Parts: sequence; structure tokens; C-alpha cells
Amino acid sequence: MTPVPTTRASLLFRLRDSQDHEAWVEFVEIYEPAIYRQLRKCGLQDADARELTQELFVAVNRHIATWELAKQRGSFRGWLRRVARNLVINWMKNGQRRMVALGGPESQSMFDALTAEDCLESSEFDGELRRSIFQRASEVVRQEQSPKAWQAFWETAVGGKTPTVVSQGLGMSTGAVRVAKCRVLARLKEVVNDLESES
Amino acid sequence: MKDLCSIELLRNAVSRGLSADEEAALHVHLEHCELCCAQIEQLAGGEAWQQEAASLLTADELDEAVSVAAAWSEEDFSVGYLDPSDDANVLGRLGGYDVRAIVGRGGMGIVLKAFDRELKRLVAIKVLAPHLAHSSVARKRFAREAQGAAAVVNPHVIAIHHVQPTGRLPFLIMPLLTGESLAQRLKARGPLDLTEVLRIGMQAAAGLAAAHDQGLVHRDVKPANIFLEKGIERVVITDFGLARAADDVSMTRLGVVAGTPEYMSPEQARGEALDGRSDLFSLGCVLYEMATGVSPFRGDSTMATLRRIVDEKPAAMASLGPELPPWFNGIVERLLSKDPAQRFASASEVSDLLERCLSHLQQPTSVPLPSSLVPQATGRPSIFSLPRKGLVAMLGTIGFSLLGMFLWQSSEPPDIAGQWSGEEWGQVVLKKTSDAEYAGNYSDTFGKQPGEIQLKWSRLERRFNGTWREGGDRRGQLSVRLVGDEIRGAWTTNKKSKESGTPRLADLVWTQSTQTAPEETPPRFGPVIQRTIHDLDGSRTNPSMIDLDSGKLISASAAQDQKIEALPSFAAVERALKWMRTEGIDLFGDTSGRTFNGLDMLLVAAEEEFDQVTEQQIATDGRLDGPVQKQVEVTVPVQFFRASAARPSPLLPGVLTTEVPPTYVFKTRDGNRGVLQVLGFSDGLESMHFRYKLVTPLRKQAAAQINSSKRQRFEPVEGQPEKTSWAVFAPPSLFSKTDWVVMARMTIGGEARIRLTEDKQPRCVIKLLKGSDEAITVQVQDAAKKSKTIVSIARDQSAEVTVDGAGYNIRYPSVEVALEDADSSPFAQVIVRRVDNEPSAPAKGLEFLAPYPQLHGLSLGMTEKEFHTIVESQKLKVHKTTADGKTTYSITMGDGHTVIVMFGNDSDKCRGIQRL
Repeated sequence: MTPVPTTRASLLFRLRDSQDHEAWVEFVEIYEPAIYRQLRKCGLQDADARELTQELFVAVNRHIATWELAKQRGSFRGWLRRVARNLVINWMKNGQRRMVALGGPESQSMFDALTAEDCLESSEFDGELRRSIFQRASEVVRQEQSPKAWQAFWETAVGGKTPTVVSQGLGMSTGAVRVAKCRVLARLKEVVNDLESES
Repeated sequence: MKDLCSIELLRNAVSRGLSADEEAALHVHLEHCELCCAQIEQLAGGEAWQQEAASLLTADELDEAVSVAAAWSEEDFSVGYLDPSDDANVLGRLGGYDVRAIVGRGGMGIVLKAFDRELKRLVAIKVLAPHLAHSSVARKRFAREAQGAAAVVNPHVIAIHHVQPTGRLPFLIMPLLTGESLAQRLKARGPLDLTEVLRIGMQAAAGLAAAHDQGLVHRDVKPANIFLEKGIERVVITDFGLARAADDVSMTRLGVVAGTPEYMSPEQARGEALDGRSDLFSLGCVLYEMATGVSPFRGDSTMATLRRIVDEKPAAMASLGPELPPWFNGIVERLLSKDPAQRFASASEVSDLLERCLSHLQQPTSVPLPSSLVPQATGRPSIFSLPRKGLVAMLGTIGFSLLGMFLWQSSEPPDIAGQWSGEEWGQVVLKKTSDAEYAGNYSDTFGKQPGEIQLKWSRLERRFNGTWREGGDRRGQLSVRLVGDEIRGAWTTNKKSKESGTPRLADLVWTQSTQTAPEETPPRFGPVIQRTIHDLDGSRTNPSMIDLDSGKLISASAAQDQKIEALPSFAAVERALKWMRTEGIDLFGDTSGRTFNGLDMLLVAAEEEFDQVTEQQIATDGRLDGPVQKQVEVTVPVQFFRASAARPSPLLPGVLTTEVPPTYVFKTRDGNRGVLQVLGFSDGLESMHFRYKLVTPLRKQAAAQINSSKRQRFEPVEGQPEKTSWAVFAPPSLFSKTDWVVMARMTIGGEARIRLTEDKQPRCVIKLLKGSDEAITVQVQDAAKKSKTIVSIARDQSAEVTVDGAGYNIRYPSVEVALEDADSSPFAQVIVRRVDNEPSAPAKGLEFLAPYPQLHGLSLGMTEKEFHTIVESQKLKVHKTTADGKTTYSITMGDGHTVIVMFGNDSDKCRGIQRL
């Protein structure tokens, strides 16, 4: 996997202004799915993962102002992961009542999964973040492209079909399919890199 | 032409874009130039990049959760309706299935992933949504239609393995499919190519044809209900039956529309009778959306969408981008005819047609286009109009009002004046107030103010829309239509008044009632339970009442004199569910001792009824108007209940055959709830215990009201913090025949009481499954609080306890489960297992005592005191002799033998047992 660059300062600076709505939207759109998925992988139920994700954003909002780029030893992601981990641990402590309230034996397995040390392990989290960035980037690129071009890309690159098969289905030439695929891939790379460097 | 093998050109192609000529030339060039193909791939990031993109863009299960979860409500994730399971990997059990996960939500229910233990396969369970399950109408339809759908056997219709129409929530079992819905595919990838459109359309039409053959109309054909199976690309239509269950609910437009109206047929939008051709219209919408990426009648609002369906032509597909052959346009046009007669005659015809078109598309030269689709020299004009936005919008408005005028003439409101009755509404009286307006009232209000209804005929919708209101604070909307001799529709509760009662959206059915509504003069109520009570001599069988506060029996005539009446009663489950909804009660949501958690008891005690007191009634009687947490034990002399030998007691059998104490719920002026339980009998059968307690609803608002309310009548019991919590019961039938699974819920330092009903001497195996790492203390005692047994059970351990007693007392043995450790979790799941009375055996070495069961308790080493306990309990006659400091007891047995039990002088222990 491509190494993930450290979080670019600009978005984080902007986040420190809690009134910068756009920065927050951007931040949440990328981080929310990543955090949510990671928490789910830790064994949390959907509703809990969702709630914790929200709590995490609340925590970020509260602390970002005091988080100083220069002094902080780790990266922003590292910090975020630590905040998330603390939240999960607190949630386990305070949430006991609620966990048993779920009533099912799943609470125990949840416990086990949560206490696993690697729950919010950094490489996993980075992987989720990258996935999230890809999803976001694909939304951006898809808007830019014609439906047909997008479909040509999708069926060949993601669906794994040959350009010949796809060209028949779409009524395009194989050459057009190839160009469309490569154009989208190249643009996707640009957008992904942009987003990576910003977040 | 210049040399196309140019890296510069390729670079521009992926980054900046090319002129049209260059682009076209490059397309041709890449048909054959492998070098450039490889090069352009490299420029686009190379293989590693492409692989990463492919793997990160492929959706997985979690992505689905991310994308759909936003629309989910908390309610959808509540698994409170599942039974507990002993398997740690499952959420719970439903029927015979281990539920492993919540996989999705359909319009009418929740889809669970589960494992069928018997057949060892994974299945999907669709559970009717709780908000619909409370309505018996929805339940009946759910069952009937699901059974109908189960009869459709077709590869393109979801199979239904099993339908469970009864139980708290009805559900059906289906195979667990892997893949995605058409809606998901369209969302992820936009419009499909024509081959795919035809393939999916053909299979969906085939599935619909099979259903139509069985007389089943789907009614909710839409991309979300068309499932594309992974791998084999099979198309399966899902959600049969459920669509119908939601009929009136989703048909209403009260702002809370369940399900999307985008794919409805015009006749469906108007609420008219439907046949299979309605599904064909919806299928047309789906074909349109597959080809263009947008649904044909999407509007800004539900109302706008419905209007477009009824009177607008969709935009021509060509205007939305894709190049589609004219014959395909023709098929979709015909499916989207406003008049069902103009559409195709059957789904099978559509399926055949699409199949032939597909063959034609794949082999244009060898397979001709179906003759019906070959363009005529002068085709009839397209029904599609090209959109000219401003003009269309203006025309739309005019058209709308013209249509309204047209419908005015064509749809006079039916006369709905008269008397009706319906669940949750009681008696409904409607009077005509003007040409198209009705006003009325209804009797089954939620306990506060009289209920009023205003209805107005909507000519366009051909329904009556209006409002309901109970007093100043509770109100909502309703929308009904006359169907045969019934009024059907749906009603909602205004958001602001939602928390004080009723669901957000529910359906209703009123039937014409011939009898006149009784004149309602509010009677005076006390917390009174009405029973037919016999006198000692059995001479009187008039219904009498017990005033629970005073414990006094009130004769029917005395009650009449005092204008006291028994409380109105309702079907137990309905009432309990309503109550639960009102209070937002979560069975396991709150551990404070203040909250009544015995709702399961209410639910399972279906043969019992619930009583309700209205505010007005309480105001005039006042006996229950008090602060919360009041507990009163009432003792009623048992003579009121004891029956003669010739005639069994009318009360006792009813009490004793339920697994749970009969429980009654009532309501106070403050919005408090009272709970009344019949506890059992006192010592010596002289009297009967009743207990009631007042509980606080969960709502903070209500708590605030209570604080400011008058409290002159009752004060809380001093220094008696609420300690007793309630055990939640499930009846044996829900589990195995011999097990009670008891969810005991305790306040810290509190205790829960579990009561069992057992004909014979019950023995219980109590196992603490989870909750506390500490040991729990279990006390077992009979109703008379005698013979207390205390055992301490560690986690995952079990202990066997015998509950002792005789006569009536053993009818309600109780198991007290108390937590010792204040820090431990206030929750324990306890299994109480009935152990059949096995023949007891004497202790080891004392086998010679086998013929005498009454002596099986004897053992060497027992103390003299223990011996005396056995002697007393078994009523043994013993002869005691003391010599040389030894005490010897001799017991003469019925068979002529004598058993000698000897105790030594220096110790208290039994030193020998002998049979002579």
C-alpha cells in the first residue's frame, strides 16, 4: 500500500476554527466512515459505533483548539486514535449498564473484542482512512465524468471485465473504453492525493 | 494522419483531454496498438494503483451499513424482541433461529441474519416492524400475504421457507441471498447498459408473472425490492406480502409516508382497486430508471410525485443522455400508460417481449426484433414530452387545478356519516357538516380528554384527510377512505404530542356499527377489580368488586349506589403495547427501581386484562392520586374467594393457571402508572394479598409535573427506598418445556423476586449466566416466607434448590435473587429449571433405608437438630431412650421393621443407623 502522508496542517488549522463549516464537513465526510468502520471491526454494534463516532467528533471539536501541531509528538491521526481509544475505554466502563441492557450474549464478545489491544491499531486505521478517501474521491470523479465513461471505468477497473466485453455492453469502441478507464484512474489518483495531503 | 504512438498524446489524453478529432483517432489507435495500451495504463497509475482502486472501491458489508444506516432509527436496532440465547455468538433467538446480525431494513420490517440450527443453514428473517406489529390488521395482512407469497414458486420470486404469523412480532423465514439490490447498484454505478436493463427487466417480469398467476399483486415494485444475486446474476423480487401489509399506511400522504411513492401506478396513487397491471407500471418506472439513472416521476415532495404520476408525462429518456433504440422507448412508454388498459395485458407478455429483445440485441442479425416493436410508417405520437422547464411548471400548475376541477365532478365524496367502531378508536361517530366535511368524536381516547375528529374530502386524492385531537395537547392527522362498508386509512401523531401517547404512524379500520353508542356519563372509579365472586354459601353469583385500597368488598348493588364501576378493560397485549409506546418504555433500558420493568409479564399474561383509570375518574375518586413509589399491600379475607366443594372458586383457577401473577395497570392524573398484582395467599389461607404500586413514567417531563402536583393525599413510605425490583418473566412455552428463563433485574443492593407456579414440589436449578463476576445470593422461600434456603452461586455455576411447601403455599414459591456486591452489575440472567421429582435415594451406606422414602434424608454425621427437622417434616413417630449418655431413637416402620438412630453423648453427631 502507498504510504500515507501525515495529515496536512491546513485542514487541521481550519478545524481549529469551529465556525469553518466547510472544513468540518470535509473532515467528517472522510473520517466518519473510516472511524465508524474501524469501530465496527472492533465489534461494536452499529448504533454504538455511530454514537462513539459522534462522540469522537465532539471530542475533536473540543480539543482541537488546544492541540498544537508543533508540540504534539505524534501525528494528528495518532492523536485521533488515542482519543478514540480513550473514548472506547470510557464507553466500556460507563456503558456497562447499557451493554448488559442489550441483553444478548453479544456484549461479552464485544468486551473481548474491545479489550483486544489491536482494536485501534494504526495500520488498520490508516487503511480504513485510505478507503474512505477513495470513496470520497470516487464520488468527486464520478460527478465530473459522463455516466458512460464512469461505467466503462467501473466495469473494467473494478468489475474486472475486459474492455472488449464492456465495449459491447456500452456501445463504445474498445479504444474509447480504454481511454475512459485510464482517464478516470488518473483523475482518481489526483483527487486521492489531494485529499490525502489535506487530511 | 500523424503518428499516433505519441507519449505526449497519451499523457494529454489522461490528464488534459483531447480535441474531438484527436480523441476519435486515439480510440481507433488503441483498438490495435498494444504498446500504447500498456503505456496509457502506466500513465494512469499502473497496475498497483489500479488494484488498490479496485479493492478500495469495492463495497463490502460495512459500507452498506454506512450508506443505509443514516436512515435507520434507534428502534430498528432494538433487539429487545429477541429471546436470550446461551450462545455467546448470537444476538438472541427468535423462533428456532439464532439471530446473528441485523442485516437490513425493509419498508415494513427488519431483516435479520440467522442460523437455522435444525437445517444447519443461514437464513434471513424478516420481522414485521414493531410499529406495525401492534396493529392486528397489519398482522393479519402480513400473515395472509406472506402465506400467499410462499405459494409462489419461481426462481425470480424470493422463496419463503416459513411464516410465523403469531407471537409478539410476526416474522417470515427466507433464504439468505448474497448480492445487492438494484437500488444499490444504480446508486453505485449509475445507469445500466441496455443488455443489463433487458436482462433484469425480463427476469423481474417473469417473477411478477408467477405472482400474478397466484392472484398476488406486489404493489411495491421498485429497485430496492429487486435483488441481484451475486455471481449467478439472478434477479429475485423480494418483499412480497409486506407491501400489502403496509397498504393503507404507505398509501397515505400525511407527511410521514412509509416507503417511496415514486414507483406507484396512477391507480395506486388514487387509492383505487389494483390488479397486476399496476405492477407493470411500476416495472416501467424501474426500466426507465435503469436506462437513465433517474426515476421518471421523482418530485420535490411526496405530493408533487403523486401529482406527476397521475397527470404528467415523464421526460423523454433521450433527453437524459442515453442513446436508446426507439423500440425500447416504446416498451417503456406503454408500460407507463396512465390507463391500465393501454399497458401490456400481462407480466408474462412483458417478460417474453423483453427476452426476445434481449436475443435481438445480442444477435441483431440472426434474431429479428419482435414484430410488435417494428416501427410503423407513421407511429403514434410519443407520450413523452420534451421538458421545457418553465413552461412545463406553469402548465403543470394549471393542469393540476384543471384536473382538480375534473375530479370534483367525477368524485363526489361518499357518505361516511354514522357510527363506526375500530380498534384504538372505540365508537366513532361522524356527522356531515358541509358538502365534503365531516366532524365527529370517538370514545377510546388515551385516558384524558374526549376525542374529536375533523375530516375533509380531497377530490384529487379521493380520500378524507383531517385531524384528530384529544384535549389541547394530543393531536395528529388522519387520512381515510371508504372501502366497501369499512373505513380504512392511517393516522399519525403530531411530533410534539408523540411522547404522551400513540405511535407516529399506524393504520386504522373502522367498521360500521349498528348499535348506538352508549351515552357516556363518566362513572366514578376506584382501583377496583371486578370479579364474579361467590359467597361462602355459594348463593350469590353477582359480580362484585374489591376496593383494593381499603380491601373492602363492594357488592354490586353497593357499587351501584356509590356509582362505582369496574374499570373498562381492553385486550391485554394491545393495551400493554400502547402503554409501552406511550412511555417509551425500554424493557431493559433502565435499572432504577422506580421503573416498572415487568412489561413482559403484562405481555405474556394475555388472558388477563388491563384496567385503566381516566384523569377525570381519578379526580372524582382520588384514591390513587399520590406521589410515586407508593406500595400498598392489601389483604382481603379469603372467605370472599373460597368456593364450596361443589363449585370451584371462580377466582382461584384463573390465578393459578397463569405463570405470572395477574397484573393490572392503571393510570393516574399525573401520568403516573399504577401496577396492581395479585400476589398470593397469606398464611393459613385466611386472606389474599394484593399489592399495588405507583411508578413514575420514564419521561422527565412527567417527573416535573409530579413534583409540582398536589401531594396531600399520599406521602411516600418513609425511609423505605424502593428496593424490590421486578423479575421479567417469560413463560415456559417460549422456551423448553421445563425451563424458565428469568431475566432478573436488580437495583444495586436490591433483589428480584421470581415466582414460580408448580403443581408438585418444585425444585429449581438456578444458574447465574452472566452479569456479575461476583457470586449472587439466591434465597428460596415459599409464599409464607417459611423454609428459606440460601445458596450462593458463583458465575457460571449452578445450584439446585428445593422449594418446600404444602397446600396453596407452594403455588407461589419465590426465588429471591440478590446481589451481594454493590459494585457488580445489576443484572443477572437466571435459568430456573424444573427438575422432575425423581425418586429419592438414601445416603450411601444406608441402602437398607430404600423402602422408606421418608427416611432418605437421614445420614451419618447429621446433628440431632437436623434429625428432629426430618422427624417433624415427615411426621415420624419416634421413641427416645437415653442410656449411658447415648440417645437412641427408634422408629417403627409400617412393615414391622424398626429403625434405630443413635446419637453419642460427647458429640451431637449421629453415630449409627440400624434396621431391626
